[in-house]
Amino acid sequence: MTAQTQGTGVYFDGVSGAPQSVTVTLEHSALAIASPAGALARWDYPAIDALPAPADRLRLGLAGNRSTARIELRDPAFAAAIKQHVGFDSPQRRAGERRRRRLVVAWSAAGVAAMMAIGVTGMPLVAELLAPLIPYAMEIRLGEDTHRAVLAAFDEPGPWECGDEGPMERAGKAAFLKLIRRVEAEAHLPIPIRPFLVRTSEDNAFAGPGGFVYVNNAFILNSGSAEELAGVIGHELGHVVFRHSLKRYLHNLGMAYLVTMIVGDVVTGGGTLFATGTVLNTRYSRANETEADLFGVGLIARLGADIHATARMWDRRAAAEKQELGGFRATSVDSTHPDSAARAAAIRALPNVANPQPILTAEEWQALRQACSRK
Amino acid sequence: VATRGADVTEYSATVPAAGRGHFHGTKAEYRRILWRDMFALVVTLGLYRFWVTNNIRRHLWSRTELAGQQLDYNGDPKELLIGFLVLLVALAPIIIVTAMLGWIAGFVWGGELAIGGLPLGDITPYTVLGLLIPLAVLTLYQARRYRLHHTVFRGLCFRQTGSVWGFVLRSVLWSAVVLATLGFAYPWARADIERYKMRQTWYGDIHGRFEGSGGELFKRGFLIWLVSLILLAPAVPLYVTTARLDAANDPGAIAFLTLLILDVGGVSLVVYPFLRARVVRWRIAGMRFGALSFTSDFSTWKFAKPYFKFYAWLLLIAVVVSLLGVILYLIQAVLLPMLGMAWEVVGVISALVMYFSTATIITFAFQGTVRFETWRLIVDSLVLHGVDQLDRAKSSAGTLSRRDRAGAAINLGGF
Repeated sequence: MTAQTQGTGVYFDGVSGAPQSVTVTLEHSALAIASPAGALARWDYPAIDALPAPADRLRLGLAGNRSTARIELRDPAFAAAIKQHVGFDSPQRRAGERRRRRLVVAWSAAGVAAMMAIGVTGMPLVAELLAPLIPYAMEIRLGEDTHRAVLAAFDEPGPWECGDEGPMERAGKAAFLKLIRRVEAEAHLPIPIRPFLVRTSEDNAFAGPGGFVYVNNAFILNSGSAEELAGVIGHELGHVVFRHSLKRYLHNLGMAYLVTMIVGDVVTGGGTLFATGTVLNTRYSRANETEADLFGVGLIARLGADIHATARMWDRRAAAEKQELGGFRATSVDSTHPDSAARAAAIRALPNVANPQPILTAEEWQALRQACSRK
Repeated sequence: VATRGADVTEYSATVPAAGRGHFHGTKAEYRRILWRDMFALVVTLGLYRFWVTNNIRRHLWSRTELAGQQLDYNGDPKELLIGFLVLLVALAPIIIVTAMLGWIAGFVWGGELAIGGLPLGDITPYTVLGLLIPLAVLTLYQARRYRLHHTVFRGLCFRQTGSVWGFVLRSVLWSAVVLATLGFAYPWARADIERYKMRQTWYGDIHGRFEGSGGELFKRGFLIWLVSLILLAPAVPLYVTTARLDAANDPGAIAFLTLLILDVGGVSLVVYPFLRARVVRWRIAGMRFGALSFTSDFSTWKFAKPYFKFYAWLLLIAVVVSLLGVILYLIQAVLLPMLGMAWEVVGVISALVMYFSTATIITFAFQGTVRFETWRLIVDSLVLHGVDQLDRAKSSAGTLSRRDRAGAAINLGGF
């Protein structure tokens, strides 16, 4: 049985919307399309594309969108003959399509991986390079904005700042300022710091952009000595001198843009950032914490005080964290700070000063612990 | 000489084209495409979405037959990708400039300068949002242009002409009016926007227009609007009470907040499909291409059903993801001491995969339910009047100019 070489179909020439009944002939190198009035078109086989269509018909067009002319055939025997002749549905063509699809997926995945690599290694660098170009006056304004946001988060009754509710508070604040000024004097900061003693049960101390430094009352009560507290204050001053808050702001802005770029989550970037941004940003943050740790310890050493006091504090915190988590270490994907035990070990590895001097007198330290007593 | 089986129906141009729509696709076929592309989408963190869009459109278009002739989609995913990159480049200065502006404003006037009690620095994020919304409208309209330009019917393309800015301005202004009137103005806003859209739409050389009226839509949707307004009324006192209570510490506040979310969310989710069914029927009835017009009489309930299927999927996905989250947390607790810092890499990868899998599954659940079933319902119910008009259509000169192609490709890459 010879293959069918001629059949009928409907042809749209791409110029008029009117359908034309045509005779289609399989010639040696091309498909000839003719109406009763005469030849209409000849489509070379390599230029012909099979278009997606329901199973009961064969729909042909010209590859590469050069024309919108279409031909549709509904005679299954003739359709099969054309398919065989042109090579549609052949295993080679199908394999070619699969290969193209895999190539697209592979290239896209590689592109995404490359962007992530740029983000992880490149963004911290960009932040380091850009930060020196931002004037300090601008960073201070950013700090004031941040300060307002920080205040909004405090929910203890009474004034949020300690040191003015009675004589004991006033004495405590004086001790606090003495401690801070002693450490600050060694730090040679480019801008003066603005220290705040915060009335809250949240166990934390932190620095914002523009020299804003916050020490929470709960953190003071959980510190074993003035030296421990001084180590942490030194650490926060490290953040100020290295402009870590500003760098993190720039870094996170860049990361947000990069993630948006990949995911296309332009309008609702929040969810994406939560999943990817947090994880990638914290990596950068941990590097900053280590840098600030070393700076803080250096200040304490220059004051001639016991630097290993800070290590003792981290040890105690590591033990507490371990207890909280039922025996597991605390660092997780989303923590912005390094592992407490690792921080303690890093500090203990440094040689201590020969004859450590106390940073505050015992009376001053006791007064400092009463700075938020409301007395 | 060709031999033909006697049972093969003669298919020729002279067979009178029935003026009906018919959808040839099956759910199984469609599902196969979705499953195949889902993996690729997750692996590429969504970058493959331009190809998914292309595959889905090619399929749906090709299974859609109108008055005896099917549609073709001949878009190119690479063009969509490039359009997206163009948008990102255009977006970068906007984001940077607005971020800097807020900062500089704070720097020059100090943090004390405030508009309506809000310090300037706090307003900045909203300015960015204010710029992003028109931009989103713009890209949606450009995406429509691309879709029309790459839709081939009877060998001719559709087209969208004219400026996109007029559309953006109209949409933004009308949205403000609709919000201010609690939705009362919606039918007239929609009619105006549809008239504008169809005025810019062509099939070959046949100019489109829209003849539906706001009054007609108002009649069709008034009852739904009124009922939802009554059902949403308790949200106001609920919101006021919640705002007054200390949300963090007061269990009452949480109860009120839950009620508020249930009210607003529940009413919106239930009402939306019914309202949308009415709007779609009204839009179809108002659409004209020369003498060609359309009617559709699909049942509202059949239109709403896929939405409820989608909601059921959402519920199921939420339960499964929460369970997986708990399991992953437990695994982390066990693996952490063993892996140490290497855990970070594992953690990053699993968080990313989790996020994108969830987002992808939700999107595909929508595609498999609402997108497919409402499409099929609309196409199957479509009646075309004045089909002979199509025979006289001619391609218009410069149908696919280079400028239009480039402009039209700007998109966010949604499907």
